[in-house]
Amino acid sequence: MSRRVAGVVALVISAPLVLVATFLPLYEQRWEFTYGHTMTVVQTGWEVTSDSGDGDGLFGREALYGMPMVVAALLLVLGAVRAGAMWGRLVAACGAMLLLGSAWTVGHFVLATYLLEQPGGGLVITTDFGLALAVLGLASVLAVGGALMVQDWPSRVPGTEAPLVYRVEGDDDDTPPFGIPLPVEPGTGSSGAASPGHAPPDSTGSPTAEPGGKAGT
Amino acid sequence: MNRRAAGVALAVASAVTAVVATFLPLGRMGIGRGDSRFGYTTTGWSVTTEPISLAGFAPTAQFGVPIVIAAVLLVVAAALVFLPEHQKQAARYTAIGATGVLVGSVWTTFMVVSAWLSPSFRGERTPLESEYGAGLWLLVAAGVVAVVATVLLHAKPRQPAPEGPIVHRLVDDADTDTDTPPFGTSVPVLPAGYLEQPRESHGQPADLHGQSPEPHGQPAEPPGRPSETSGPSRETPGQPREPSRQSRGPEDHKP
Repeated sequence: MSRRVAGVVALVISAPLVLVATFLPLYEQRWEFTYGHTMTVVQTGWEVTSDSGDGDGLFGREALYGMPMVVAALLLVLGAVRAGAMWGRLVAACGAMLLLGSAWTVGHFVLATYLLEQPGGGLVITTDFGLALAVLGLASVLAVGGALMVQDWPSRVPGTEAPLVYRVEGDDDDTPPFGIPLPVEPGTGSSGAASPGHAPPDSTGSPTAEPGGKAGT
Repeated sequence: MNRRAAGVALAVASAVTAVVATFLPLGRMGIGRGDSRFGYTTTGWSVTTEPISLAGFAPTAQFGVPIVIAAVLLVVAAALVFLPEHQKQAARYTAIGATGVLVGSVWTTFMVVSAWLSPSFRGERTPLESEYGAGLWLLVAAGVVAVVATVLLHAKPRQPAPEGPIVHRLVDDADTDTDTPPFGTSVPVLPAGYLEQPRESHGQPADLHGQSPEPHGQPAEPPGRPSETSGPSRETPGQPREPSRQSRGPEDHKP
């Protein structure tokens, strides 16, 4: 599996996880009054509900925290589908970072709710983290990882298309493996300092000497 | 100012605005005025209550943390623009990441404050008053400016205008540049019997056949120098100086 395919798979997995996480509870609060009455407040990515009062309860209201998360999930899907294009990869990165910022802020809000000071006056509030935080964290990691994997990263190693040239430092005067060809003097067959242009055309066909006339070190 | 410079300026302005906005009121909800006021005011770092004894009822969320980190990343992206051209990809991706985190944080903060300011139990008969703070609107503006800055940072550099005449150079490729010249291709014309002459004279005296090896009065070359016997041919006006031995016979080359 190539890196880009793995990134697309991560993006495709993270998007539905985000959608599911918006419907899971971010936190559950239990309010206990001294006179025995209790109330439970649950918040998801879309609303706050409580089990007291009518309908959604005394604290029931809309809380559309999931809206930016859903938009981020849509961007992740679009980026996964169009990962082959440059704009698709940028959309995937935007979606992942949008999800990260949104989940990060929601995490701060839930953490603040968890660390809420006890108001006193006969009221005790106990807060538990919901499953949505874990799912959102997993989805964020998958989204950021997937968005990074689908990108075109520049290669760190230069390509090997051009011939490799190794430069030998210092004196490079070793004898070649087959010696140095010497010119053969016409008529004698012995090596000498004759010019290659004076070699007879029918002696060897080449102004260079036979292997016996090579000089080697 | 080109588009990239404008993007850098907007990115820095957006980062500064976002950081400042976290210290301003994001929302206010309460009742009463003056000393009898009763309510909450939230910023990106804390919640202030009036009176102070109400502090336990309001969660103090640190909304400013992701916003400030995104702002720092935005400034880093603006600084990375000054890298060489082949490294500017880092600036673009950093800008995308910073803007994404900033927009996501601002959007969610807006939703949190909006939900907080519109509780369901506040009906017609509830005297609670609520309002969005200046910090929230500044955060929204910072997010919008960050998006614009990121788009501008992705602008392509302006191509320099060509100076002087424009010359289109054709690639010397056998498949593409094979058109016939306007006046045709010049064909070499050799003297009659030129190609046979060196073959007859090779290795034998030329006068054995009763004719000169060089029909045009040139002295015979000594044997054993084939490279010189196949030397230049006579020039024909309008013909190439070096006729090829691989060309066809002289009769076939006559126009």
